[in-house]
Amino acid sequence: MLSVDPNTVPAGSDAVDATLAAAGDARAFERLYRSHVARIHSLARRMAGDDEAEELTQMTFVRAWQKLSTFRGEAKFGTWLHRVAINVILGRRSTMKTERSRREAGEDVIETLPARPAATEHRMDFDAAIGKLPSGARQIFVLHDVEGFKHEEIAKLLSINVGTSKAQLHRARMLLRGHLTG
Amino acid sequence: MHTIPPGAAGEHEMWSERLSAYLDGELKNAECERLEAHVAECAACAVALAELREVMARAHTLVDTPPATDLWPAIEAQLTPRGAAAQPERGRVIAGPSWWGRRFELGIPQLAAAAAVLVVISAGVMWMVMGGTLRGSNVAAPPAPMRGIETASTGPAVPADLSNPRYDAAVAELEQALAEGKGKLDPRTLAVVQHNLQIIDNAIADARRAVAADPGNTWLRSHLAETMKKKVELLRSATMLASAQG
Repeated sequence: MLSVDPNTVPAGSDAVDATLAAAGDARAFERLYRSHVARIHSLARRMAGDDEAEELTQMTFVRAWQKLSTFRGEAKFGTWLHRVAINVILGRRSTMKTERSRREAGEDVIETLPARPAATEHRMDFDAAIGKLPSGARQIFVLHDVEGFKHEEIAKLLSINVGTSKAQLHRARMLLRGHLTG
Repeated sequence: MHTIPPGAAGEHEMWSERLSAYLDGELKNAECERLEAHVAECAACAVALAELREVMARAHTLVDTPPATDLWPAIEAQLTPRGAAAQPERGRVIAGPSWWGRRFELGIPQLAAAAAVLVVISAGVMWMVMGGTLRGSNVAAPPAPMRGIETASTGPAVPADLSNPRYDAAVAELEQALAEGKGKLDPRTLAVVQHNLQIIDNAIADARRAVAADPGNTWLRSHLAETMKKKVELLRSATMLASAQG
């Protein structure tokens, strides 16, 4: 008997809450937080690791609050928030000025890691296995295979060339294939 | 580019490195054919190809999980007030919709009173839509807005037209105030407000039809009431934002 389309009301709710929040309604912004925190936190955890995930999640929502006036409603709020999160996560690591060296070190690690992990690691949770990848390969794998970015976009975001992005992605996948049973 | 003949030393390494590019559709047709020919004869590459496919598939099935602790209190503490629209300064006089006091200049006391009126209207809408009974409340006065959702169909019948003159009057006044103040809003902000008002109006219309068809459904009543409240809240915020821009 329900005539309300359940697929349209929630989308409208996000847009409404974003507008309310842009006008200063913290309760509306809390509703947005509740709706999207799992995705943003998971993105931060996969991109930067458990230690930084909570802080990056907080930073993302605070930044989103500050930038809400730039949300024009042309994309879904979740998509816009996701972009904010990517910028926060990558910006944070960039300001730490360790990203490039980590990525370079990551390549070294990849080269020295066995093509297939030991059997004892096979049962590791796949998500946890992503966290064990070298930083550069992990970010590229998450951005490409989990989040759906193109190599060209990744290259711009990470200030690397497209060939490096493709090579890192392949190596990340090769490392992860040993954890499929987890 | 790839001049290593079939069977030559290094061919396995070359194609092994290109398995991801193959799966991502980045190889040209001729390269695809050569890689597939190699995989057909190379057990290691065949296994690797299958496992890479599974890795890619698994990447799409990861489950998002919230943080172990609620981060909202820490986030809320860092939210800066959003100008006068969010928190008018003490004693500051800002323009407001006429129905708040038949004046367009409102001080803090009047704004407080207006807020109280909005609460009463919101609660009244909830009380009316819920058919005059809410869980935990059996008094005649409108109760506080309900936050939970009930699924049991226990509510009594509601008026067929679901009308509430106070709500309708409040919305009309707010709409009038917004119409008069919309010129002060950024055109993009105004477009978002108008777009979302249309979304809410559609949702209200849908919910009204649903309640009319299933008047005993408590969840539908709650949904309708919440949607009607959202319209008031959006109109209120937009009007105050316009007023603050003046």
